[in-house]
Amino acid sequence: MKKTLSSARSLIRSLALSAALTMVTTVTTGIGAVHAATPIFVLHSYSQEYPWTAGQNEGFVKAMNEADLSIEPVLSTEYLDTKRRSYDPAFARAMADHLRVKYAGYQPAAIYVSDDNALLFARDYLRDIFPGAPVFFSGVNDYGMRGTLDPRYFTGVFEKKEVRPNLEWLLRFDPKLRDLVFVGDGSNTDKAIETEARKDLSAFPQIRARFIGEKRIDRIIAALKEDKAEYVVLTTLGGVTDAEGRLQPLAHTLRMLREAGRRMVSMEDGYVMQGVMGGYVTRGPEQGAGAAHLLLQYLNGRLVNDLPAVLKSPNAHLFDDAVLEAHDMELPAAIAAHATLLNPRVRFVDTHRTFILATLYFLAAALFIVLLSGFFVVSRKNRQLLAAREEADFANQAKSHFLANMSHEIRTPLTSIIGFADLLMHDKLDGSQRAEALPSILRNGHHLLELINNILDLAKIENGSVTLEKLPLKTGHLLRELGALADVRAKAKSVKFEIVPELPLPAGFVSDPVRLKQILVNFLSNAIKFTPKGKVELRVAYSAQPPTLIFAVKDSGIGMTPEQVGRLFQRFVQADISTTRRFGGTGLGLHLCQQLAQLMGGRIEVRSELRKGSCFTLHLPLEQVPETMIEDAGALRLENLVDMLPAFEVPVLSGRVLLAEDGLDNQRLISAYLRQAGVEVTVVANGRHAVEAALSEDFDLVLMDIQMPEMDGVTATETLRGVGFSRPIVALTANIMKSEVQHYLEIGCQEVLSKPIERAKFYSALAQLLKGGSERRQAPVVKEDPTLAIAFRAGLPAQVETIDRALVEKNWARLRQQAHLLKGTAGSFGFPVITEIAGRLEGAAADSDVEHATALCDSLRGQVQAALGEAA
Amino acid sequence: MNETQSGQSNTTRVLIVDDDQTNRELLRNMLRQLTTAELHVANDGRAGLELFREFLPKMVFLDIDMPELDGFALLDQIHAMDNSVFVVMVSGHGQVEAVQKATSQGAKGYIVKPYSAQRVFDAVHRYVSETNDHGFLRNP
Repeated sequence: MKKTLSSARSLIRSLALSAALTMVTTVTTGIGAVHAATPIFVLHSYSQEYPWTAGQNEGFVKAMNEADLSIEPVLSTEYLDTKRRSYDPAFARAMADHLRVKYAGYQPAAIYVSDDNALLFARDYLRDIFPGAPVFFSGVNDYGMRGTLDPRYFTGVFEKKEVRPNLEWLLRFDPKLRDLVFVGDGSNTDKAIETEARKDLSAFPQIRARFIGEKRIDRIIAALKEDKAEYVVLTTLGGVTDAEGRLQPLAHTLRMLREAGRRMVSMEDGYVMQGVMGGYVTRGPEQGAGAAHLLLQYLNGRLVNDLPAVLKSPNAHLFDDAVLEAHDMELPAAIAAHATLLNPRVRFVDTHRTFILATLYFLAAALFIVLLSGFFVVSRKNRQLLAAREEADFANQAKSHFLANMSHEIRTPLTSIIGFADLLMHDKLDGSQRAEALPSILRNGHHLLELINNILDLAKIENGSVTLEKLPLKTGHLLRELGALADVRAKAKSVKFEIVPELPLPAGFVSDPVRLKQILVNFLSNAIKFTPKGKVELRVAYSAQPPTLIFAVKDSGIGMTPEQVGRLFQRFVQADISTTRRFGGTGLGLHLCQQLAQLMGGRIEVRSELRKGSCFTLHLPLEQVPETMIEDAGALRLENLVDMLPAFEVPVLSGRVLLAEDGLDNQRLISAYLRQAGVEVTVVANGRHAVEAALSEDFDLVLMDIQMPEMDGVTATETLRGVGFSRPIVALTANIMKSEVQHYLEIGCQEVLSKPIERAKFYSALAQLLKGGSERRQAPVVKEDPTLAIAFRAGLPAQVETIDRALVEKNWARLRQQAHLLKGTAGSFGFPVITEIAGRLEGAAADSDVEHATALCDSLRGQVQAALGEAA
Repeated sequence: MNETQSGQSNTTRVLIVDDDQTNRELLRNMLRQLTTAELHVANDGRAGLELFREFLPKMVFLDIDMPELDGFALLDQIHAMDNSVFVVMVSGHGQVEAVQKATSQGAKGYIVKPYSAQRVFDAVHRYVSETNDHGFLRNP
C-alpha cells in the first residue's frame, strides 16, 4: 500500500510541476493529505434531521470509511440550514466570516458539499477560505450551475429528478391514468423540475398534468382540494411552511398531504415515508457515495480535472409496499424485479401460478448449486428483506411490551377512579370516607392525564411535529415554581428538599418554558419517588463559555447500577422491571426528557451509585449571553415556596355565554363552572345550533367544542366568522396537537382550552375575554322612532286578523309568511314573547299542523291584546 | 315606492331592501342615528336592483325572503356589477345553510331578525374598519 502511495505521490508531483501555478497549490494540499489523518471539510445545504441531507451524508461517510486507503478521514461538518432560512448574499457573507474565525489555522485536504446552496457557497467563499482544497459535490441540480464551475477544482454528482420513468411506471400500473398533479414548494428547484416535467409530459399527450407550486401548506392543500387527480407527484417539498410562514418538518408536510387522500409518487428517496408510495427516485446515500468515490480517487492521486462530474444521478425504483398494499396496488413484475421494496407484504401464491412453477424449478437448481458449492448465498435483496423483517419483529415486540405496560398503567388509576366513584354513588359514605374518595379520584385522574400527555409528546417527537417555543423566562420564577411543586411532594414523604443556586446566575433567559419545566419536573419527581428518606436538591449553575445553564437534581435515594444507568433512556424501559411495581411510572419520562433536551440543543448526564443516590444533570445551552446577572441570593426569593402553589379563586364575572358541547356530562360540568362565576349560560349540542343561536341572540362569548355531531366546531366557527360574528370564540378540544391549536386560532378562535379543562386556566381565559368584551365598541343609544312603534302597535290587530284568516282558509304559505314577518318585527319593538309565538307558528304552518297552529293563534291573540292594553 | 333621503354628494350611500315596511323603517331609523349615510330604501328586489344601478351604494342591507327577486338573487346581481359592495343579509332565520350560502355568495354580514341596534352597529363598524371610511360613523 505504502508503495502505491509513494508512487502516486511522485506521479502527482511530476504532473503538478507541469501544471499551472494555481494547480500546484491544489495538488500539494492533496499530497499533504495522504497521511494518517486526512481533514475533510463537509458542508451541507440543509440540516442534519432533513432526511435527504442525512441520506447523502450517510452514503458519503460510509464510502469514506470503507475506502481501502491508509487514510483516516477526519470530517468537520457544517450545515447552512437553508430550508429554515433563505440563502441570500448577506447570510452567505456572515456565514463565511463565521467560518473564517471558527476554522482559522485549519486546512482541509478536500471539501464535500451537498446540494445547490452549499456548492454555491463553496464556489463563492470556501475556495477562498480553504485555498487549494478541491470541492466534491452531490445532490446538485444541474440547471445552469455546471457552466460556472472551474473543472480543475470542482467535480461531483449532478442530481436529476426524472419525471419520464415515473410516468412510465404509473401508466403500467394504471393504463387509464389521465389526471396528474405535481406538488412542490414553489422554489427555484421546483420550477426547474416543472420545466423538465413539461418537456417529458409532451410525450404523453393523454395525461393532463397540473402544477401546484406553493410555499404554504394550507395553500397547497386548498389547491389540491380543487384538483380531482388521484395521483400526486411530489417534486420538492423542503421549503414548505405552515400558514404562518414557519418552515415545517417534511414528515409533517407529507402527513398533511396524505390526509388529503391521494396516491403520492416520489422522485426522491427521502420522501418515501408517511404514506408515500415511492417511485423512480434519486438516492441520497448513493449520490453521497458517488461524491466520496471521486474524492477518494483524488486522494489516490488523480487530478480533479480528470474526474468528470457524473451527470445523471444513480436513480432507482423504490417503493413502500405497505402503502401500495393499503392502496390495493401491486407492482407489475417488470418493475418489481429491479425495485427496492420497503415493508414488503406477504404475497399470495395462487395469483402467480406460472411464476411459482418457474420459481420451483429455480429453487431446485439453486438447491443443487448450494449443495455443490457448500455455502449459502443470500442475495442482497434477501438480506435487505430479512433485515427489514427483523427490524419489524423487534419493533413489534417493543410495541407489544409497550401496550402491555400501558394497559397496566392505564388500568391502575382507572381502578381507583371507577371504584371510588362507584362507592360514592351506591354506598352511604360518611364525611371522612368521602373526604378520602374524592381526592383519590382527582389524583388518579391527573396521573392518567400525565400518562396520556407523555405518550402524545413522544408520538409528536417521533413524527417530527414538535416545534420549540422561544420565550423569555425569569430564573427566579422558574425556581420558585419548581420548588413549590417539589416541596409539596417531598414533604408528603418526609424527604428534605432544597434549592441551591450557585451565584451568579442569569436573571432571565430565553427557552421553551413548558419543555424545560417538563424535563426538570421529571427529574425532581423521579428523585423524590426513588428516595424513601433523605434529601433531594436542585442545584443551578451558569457557565459562560459557552453560555450554558446547568440544572442538577441530586438525591440520596436507591441509586442504580451502571447497567441500569445504561438502559435508562431507552423507551418503555425502567431501570428494573420490578421498579414499575414498586414505584409506578411509565418508563417514558426519561426517554422523553432526553428527546426534548436534544431538541433544545442540550444534553442530559446521569451519575448514580447503587444505594447511594443519583444525580441527573441538564446542560442547557443559551442562545444569547444573558444581560443581567443575579449576584445576591435575596434577589431569587426562594423562601415561602408553599405560598406559590398554583391556586385559583372562582372569579366574579358577568355576561352571557353560549356553550356548544355535545357531551351531556361536559355540558353540566362547564355550565356549573360558568354559573359559579355568575355567568349566564345557554347550551346547544352541535355546531349547527351554535351558529343559529349565536346569530339570533346577543352573547358575549362562545365556548365551542370542536368535535360535535352534525356540524363540528371548526365549521361553525368558520361560518360565524365568515359573516362577521365579532364576539370571542373559545375552542374546547381534546386535540392539543400544536398544529391543530394553531389551526383553531387561524380560523378565528381567540383561545384554545384543552380538555379536560383546568379550572384555573378556564377562569383566567374567561375573565380576560369577557372583560375584553366590555371594551368592545358599544353602539350609541338608538332612540326608538315613536311613530314607528305606534304604527306597529296600530297594525298589530290587522296582522293577527290576517293570520287568523290564513289559518281558517288553511292557506299555509300565507300563514307562514305572515308569521315570519311578525316574528321579525315584534322583538324589535319590545315584544319578545310575540316573536317567539310567531316563530313557532311559522314552524306549525310549515308542517301544516292545524291543531298546533290553532293553539298558537289563540295564545298570539291573547299576547297581542295584553300588549295593546299595556300600551294603552 | 322608492324612497330616498338626499344627502351631500360625498357621503356614503347605503341601500336598504326589504319588503316589510316596519322592518325598513326600523333599520332606517337605526342607520340614520348611527351613520352619516345617504339612505336609499327599496321595498322589493326589483326596486332594489334599480336603485342600486342608479346610486351605486357602497353598503347594502338585503332582506332574504322577498317575492320574485329574493335577496340571494339580488346579491348575485349586485356583485356582478360591483363585487366590492359590503352586503349585509337580513333574515328572519339563521339556518346554517342560508348563512353559508350568504358567505359563499360574498356577503360580509348576516343579521337575524329581530335584532338590536348593536348588531347593526357591529356591521357598520366592520364596514368602516374595512374601508377606512371614518366619516361614515356619526359621532365616532
